[in-house]
Amino acid sequence: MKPHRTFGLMDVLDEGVEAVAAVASPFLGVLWLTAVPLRLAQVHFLFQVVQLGSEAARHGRYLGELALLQAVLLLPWAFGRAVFVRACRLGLQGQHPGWAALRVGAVPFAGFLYTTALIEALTWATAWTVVSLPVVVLMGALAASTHAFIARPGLLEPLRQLFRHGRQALLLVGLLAVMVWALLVAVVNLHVLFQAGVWLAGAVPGTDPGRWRALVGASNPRYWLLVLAGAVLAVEPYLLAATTVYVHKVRSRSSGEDLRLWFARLRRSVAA
Amino acid sequence: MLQRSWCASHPDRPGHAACVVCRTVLCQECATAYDGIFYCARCLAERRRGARRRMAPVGWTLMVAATVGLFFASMRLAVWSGALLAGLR
Repeated sequence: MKPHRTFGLMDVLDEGVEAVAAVASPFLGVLWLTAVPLRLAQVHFLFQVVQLGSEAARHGRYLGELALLQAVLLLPWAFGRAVFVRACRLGLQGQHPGWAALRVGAVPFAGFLYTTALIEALTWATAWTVVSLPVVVLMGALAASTHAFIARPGLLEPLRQLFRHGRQALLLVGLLAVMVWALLVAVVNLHVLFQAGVWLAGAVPGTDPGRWRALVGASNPRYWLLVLAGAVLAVEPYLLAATTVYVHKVRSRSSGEDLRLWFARLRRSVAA
Repeated sequence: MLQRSWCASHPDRPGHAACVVCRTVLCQECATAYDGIFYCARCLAERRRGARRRMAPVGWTLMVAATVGLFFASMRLAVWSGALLAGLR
């Protein structure tokens, strides 16, 4: 038993999975309930962009209305994220995350909305590069995990909290790689699940699987966007929990909380 | 004069400074120099709270304005980016 053990990627992932399992009921439901409308709006927006093709530039007003819908749906989504992260954090501190998880402070939440808006603008500004997307997704998760430490309103304080906890770049890059891999696995699993469902439906008398095959076929871009949205919903809680564990560990080391817990464990083992 | 006085919190210690706000005599441990002026812990905390209270409306205004502006910017960027991506196909 070492007193000041450094933590690695596997520690963060293991504890992240445990944290998700501990708060799944009901906070995973809160997260999904607030995230599903936004994901569906994003799918619809991207599908319309795909359908319009080179004509998209002429339908700026229509696309602008869809973008406004996404901006409105970002508010409940951000609240769901804040609640889920708070529940995970309370669980890590050894407390029971009951109604207390819903009490997100006004200043931290306003700071979180500000960083969310900034990251959202950054996402769309760099979306055409594609490679920037994982980085902004990680920044979004870190912003959610650090929002509770925003003590006063201002433009710099939320960003200071975000970058203060992003120093272990190697670990965060590793976390990002694992999550991208998990997303691919989730996409493949969901696709196989849909295909198996259509195949099984063919065995039921009176059902025509032909129409369903066209809907969940590989040639339908809406289907692929929905599968991707489903995979994002599946991976999102684990990413949020992992970044929350990471932030908790970074803060524990700097405040001496890890030493206090180590002494407590040591005392218990000596007493036993 | 302070040498003959004693710290308000530690009666066995000689006075080192007096708080500029409440004039309490402080020992070396209790006195905190801020901008070259000695304060007791209570008055220093009060001063910091006052500064925060003064800054809060400015901070709120800036943060709300920036959030609304960024949301509008992200909407425009989404349309622009969408049109760009669609054109690239």
